[in-house]
Amino acid sequence: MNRVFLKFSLKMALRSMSIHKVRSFLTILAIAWSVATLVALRTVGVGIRSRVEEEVGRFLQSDILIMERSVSIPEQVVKDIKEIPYVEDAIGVIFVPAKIQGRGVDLVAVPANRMDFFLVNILSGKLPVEGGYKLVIDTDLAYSLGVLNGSYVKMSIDYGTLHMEHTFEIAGISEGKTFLSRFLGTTFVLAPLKPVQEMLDKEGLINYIFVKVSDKNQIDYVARVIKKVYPGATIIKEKDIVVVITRVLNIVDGMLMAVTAIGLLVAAVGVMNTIMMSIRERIREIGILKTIGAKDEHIFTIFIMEVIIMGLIGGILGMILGYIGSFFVKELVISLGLTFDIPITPVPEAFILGFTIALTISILSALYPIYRVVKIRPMEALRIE
Amino acid sequence: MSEPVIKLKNITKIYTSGKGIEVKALDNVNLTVYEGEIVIIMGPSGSGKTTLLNIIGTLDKPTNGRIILDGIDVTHLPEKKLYNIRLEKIGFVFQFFNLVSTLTALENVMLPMILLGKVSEREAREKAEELLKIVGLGDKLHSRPIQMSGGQQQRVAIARSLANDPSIVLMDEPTGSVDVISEAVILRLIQILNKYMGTTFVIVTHNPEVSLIGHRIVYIRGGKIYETKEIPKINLENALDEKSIVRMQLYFLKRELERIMRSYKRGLLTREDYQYEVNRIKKKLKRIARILGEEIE
Repeated sequence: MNRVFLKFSLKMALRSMSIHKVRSFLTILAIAWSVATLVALRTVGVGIRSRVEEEVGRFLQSDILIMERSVSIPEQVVKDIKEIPYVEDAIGVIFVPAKIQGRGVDLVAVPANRMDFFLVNILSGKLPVEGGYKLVIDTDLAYSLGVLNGSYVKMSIDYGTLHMEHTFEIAGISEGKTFLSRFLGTTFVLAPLKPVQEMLDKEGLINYIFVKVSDKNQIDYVARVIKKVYPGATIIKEKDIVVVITRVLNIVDGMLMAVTAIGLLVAAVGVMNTIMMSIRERIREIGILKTIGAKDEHIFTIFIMEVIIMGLIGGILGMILGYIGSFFVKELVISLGLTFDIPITPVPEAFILGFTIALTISILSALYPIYRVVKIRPMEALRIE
Repeated sequence: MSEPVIKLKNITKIYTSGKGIEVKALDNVNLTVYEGEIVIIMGPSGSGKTTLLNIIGTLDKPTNGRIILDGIDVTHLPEKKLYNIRLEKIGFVFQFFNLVSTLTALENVMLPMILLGKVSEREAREKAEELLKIVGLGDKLHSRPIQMSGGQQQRVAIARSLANDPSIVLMDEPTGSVDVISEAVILRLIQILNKYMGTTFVIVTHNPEVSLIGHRIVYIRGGKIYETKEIPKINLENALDEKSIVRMQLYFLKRELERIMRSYKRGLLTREDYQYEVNRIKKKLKRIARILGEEIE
């Protein structure tokens, strides 16, 4: 096999494609479509994933979460944890389910001076940094309860066998449901820690500690030290939470891949059909080539060249279409009820994957028909007209 | 005697059909083809002539016997080596659809050279151009097969068969699907190539016109050679060259003129008749002059 022959086979492939413009176009389209599906779904998938990870991190504002089922961690523990090397910050909160006028919410009670820890976006009013029986609720809840800033609501907490109730003033209304609260299907309510401790009769105690680590590589080390300082606690690292969410997203991804696989199958069948037709039409030509001394690899090259060209064009076209298409998929997903915006950025991995798969599948599906014709004896090829 | 190019020794080919019935396509065929020969293989349909050609061309293997091409016993060569034998030693021309449809005439002729890979692309191109000029298609270099007539395609196929200077060119009904004029052109071309390039041809045909250009006709029937006829060499060009023909004509015209003048002197011809005869001879002389490329009054 020499360079000039490669040039020749390239010419032959291009001319054969231009003779059968429609057929080649449709085959390329099938390949492009499958690549586009893969790229679009993958791009959107990666977008969702990165958004989820970002949001989880933003919500937690911490790298390690220490939790107890009951409100039983002394606040002193928070101070101890702060002394551990690499710990940048730590905050102890009470995190319990509660009811506001019959509506289930998740109450997060934060020390008054640390109310800003969770980066809540206040639309009206302010964070109750001075303490007192005050609440921050989101606009959705405010709307459905029909309350405004300064209104009073009754909040009840069922803690074990106890049922406690108290009136709280709405100090601020935050931006509508956050990403995570939607994702988890819950509503968060923020209150100063002291009144909630009083209400539960758990002064000086908390059940959640959020820990921020200055060096992300030391998270495991910090977690180990905490385990020593406070052996009974359940320690969750941020990435563990992300892993759980990721697992859900993986299932979604798997389904998207199934859709992609169908596209790829269609492309493979298309390529196979095109090559089979191309071979059938040119069987006598193959006979001629063989009689004048073309070797098996020559014949193979002539046909595989056509497939490679179609795969390349289809792949490139598919990448472009896929990237554009990902914006449409995003709109579609959002219209289906996803309530957050998905960032669309080019995902090199999706491009490479789509392109490689398209080319590989095209070549693989062409191998069998080409192999069959390569093996045919020149006499037999010549007999077919 | 020149060197033998093809030697077939006791070639037998038996085809076995699906039901186990054996058909003897060739039965103990012995044939030697010498360098520079045009051998015509004739016979009725199904007589085994195409099988014979395919066996010579290494496209088919004999059941028994040996084939020696150019001194190489190719009978049991593996397919991989046969490719090169075909490339270097054999040129093929079939009845129709000889060309690769996606390549131009020039590229079709270049193809065997490129497959062999011994010459550069430029050299292959130059040689292909020359070969196409020889077959009279210097103006069709960049035409695709679909843009050419059957006869033209056939001539491209002939040019291609010569690309690697083969020892033999095998033709299966080369004029089988072209018109009469193309046939004449192709046959003349074969003669010219044979005479000036020394190419050896083995041509399978059942067209008697084709057989006229051969040096030897091998009749085959029922898989057996039953007659080999040497065609006497009539070299028209040497036997009757231009000068002698003109000389002969002039000689006879002179005799005729003398005869007319004699008759006129004896009063056997009227003046009108005499004038008429002289004019007739003048006309003939003018024609000869034209042949010689001169103008006379």
